[in-house]
Amino acid sequence: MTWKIIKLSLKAIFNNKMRSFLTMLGIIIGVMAVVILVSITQGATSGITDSISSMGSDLITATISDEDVSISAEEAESLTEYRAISSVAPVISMNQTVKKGTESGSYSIVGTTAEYFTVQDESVQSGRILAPSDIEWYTHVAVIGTEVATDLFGTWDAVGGTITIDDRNYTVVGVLAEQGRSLAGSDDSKIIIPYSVAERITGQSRISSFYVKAADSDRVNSAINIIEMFLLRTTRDEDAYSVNNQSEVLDTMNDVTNTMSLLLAGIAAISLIVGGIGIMNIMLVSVTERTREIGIRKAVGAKRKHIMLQFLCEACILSIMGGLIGLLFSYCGISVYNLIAGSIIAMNLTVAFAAIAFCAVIGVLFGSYPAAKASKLQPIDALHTTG
Amino acid sequence: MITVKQISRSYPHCEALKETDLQIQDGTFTAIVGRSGSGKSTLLRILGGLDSPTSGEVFYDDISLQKMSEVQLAAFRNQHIGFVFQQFFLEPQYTVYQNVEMPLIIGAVPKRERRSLVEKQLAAVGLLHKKNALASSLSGGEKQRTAIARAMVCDPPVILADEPCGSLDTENGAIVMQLLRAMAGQGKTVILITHNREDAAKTDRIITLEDGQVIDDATF
Repeated sequence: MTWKIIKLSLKAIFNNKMRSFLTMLGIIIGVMAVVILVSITQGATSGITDSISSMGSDLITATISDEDVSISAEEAESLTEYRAISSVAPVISMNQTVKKGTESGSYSIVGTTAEYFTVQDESVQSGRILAPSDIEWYTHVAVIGTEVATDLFGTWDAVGGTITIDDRNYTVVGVLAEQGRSLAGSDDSKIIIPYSVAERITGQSRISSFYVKAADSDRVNSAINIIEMFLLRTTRDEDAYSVNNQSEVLDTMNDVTNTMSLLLAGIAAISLIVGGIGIMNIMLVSVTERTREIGIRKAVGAKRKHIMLQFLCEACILSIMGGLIGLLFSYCGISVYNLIAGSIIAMNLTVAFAAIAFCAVIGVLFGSYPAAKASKLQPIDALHTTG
Repeated sequence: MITVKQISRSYPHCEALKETDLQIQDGTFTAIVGRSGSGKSTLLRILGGLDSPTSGEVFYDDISLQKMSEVQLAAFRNQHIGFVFQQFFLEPQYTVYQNVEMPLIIGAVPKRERRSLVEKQLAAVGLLHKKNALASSLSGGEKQRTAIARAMVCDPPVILADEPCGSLDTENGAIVMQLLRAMAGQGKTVILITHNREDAAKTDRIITLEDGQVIDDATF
């Protein structure tokens, strides 16, 4: 009986293909809005949260925002005297145009020490990392990201090659392991050079930030306190610096992402509700049009529940079918977005299932009134309608 | 036996039936005749449980239709009464087979059983070869024969036919009357509403209604 009702409902839907499609349109757009927006938001932020979490919870970032404050690398490195801190990597950051023959591009330059690779948990896929002697002897060497290697060297081995930064030649001694993209951009498009050389490029000995690795995860809070005290003592201004632990950043990031996703899903859910109202409207029209059919069925013994089930089934099928078409369009939409943006965002399956479940609920909610109206028709009134 | 006890049916501007009493024996072929507005169609609908009387009761043996719940009445219509209407009331978008099958689906008859029952009835009305044709593609006579097959498919003991030949030509009307006669011959109680004296003459009993009351009751 249930299967028969589903078949009858499908037949009624396919008898009016254009009207059924237009009825489903609200649901299709609603589902597309929910799935695409949430997938893009979560997909885009997952890259950044992945890269943050891969750094480990014992990584602490200290950023000096006040340009008048001068902290040297040596001062920052002195923090390793504390037992709670295992290593410190001072950083001078800048953007420079980098050339290789006729190829050139603007890349992020990180001037740092060998400790940077330990603190950031980064490794090379070929060549070597910076050596302490590189810093000590002001060697013009560079460790480059995979994107830089591809941009400047193509398929050739970059290690041993030469690049030009600020009119000085640098020998590429290593290529970093691939890290992928995040919201902040590509982590593979940076160039790491000795800290001492970066100092000469900028012409000053102040560092813009430093990374600290706590001795272990239990001593992260102690390490943060030590760094904050050090920075306050050095800068005498609480607003001149900020100290962040990766897990805090990750938590904040997750909170922001979840709030954004909920907000977007909420806005998109409104269009689903509007789609549901569209279904109710068409189902009410359908009840009026099919009064005679209802009358015939009642005359041959159909109970209220049979009529109710049939119309409810039709509303649910319309809604769920609209949801499935919406999912298909969402998949296409996300694929197009990936093609255009060069990203690798996948459809969020949880949201997809939730959207279909929501469609079913909408079908039941907005199909109930027309179904109840149809089931309450008296057979004689229904037959009389046609004269 | 069908017993009608003091049935009245009032509408806002008229009284269709006035304290009508009637008894119809099982297995008889009865015609109810009368002018337009005499209350014959109203009586048929009340007999079929499609409409409720303002007062009075209809009994099938000892069972009162008016004491049944809506669900019981629906099941009773499905199992005990077959309707044939002047306008056929087929579902045009469905095939002949699907139209005839409908009461069996509602009665939750298993699919395999449904198939044999539908084909048996279609064969009885001579439409087995058209079982896959859409109802909308049939001629008037074929539509009415499909409606008769649908009325008979649940093997109900009572057939209520409201002007079944009203929309048909003489030839098809005669075929429909033969089918109704055959049903009565199988022991069914057939009640025919008609304007046509010739059709009425083919029945066992003619009840004449006027202004909602029985004014004549002749048995042959």
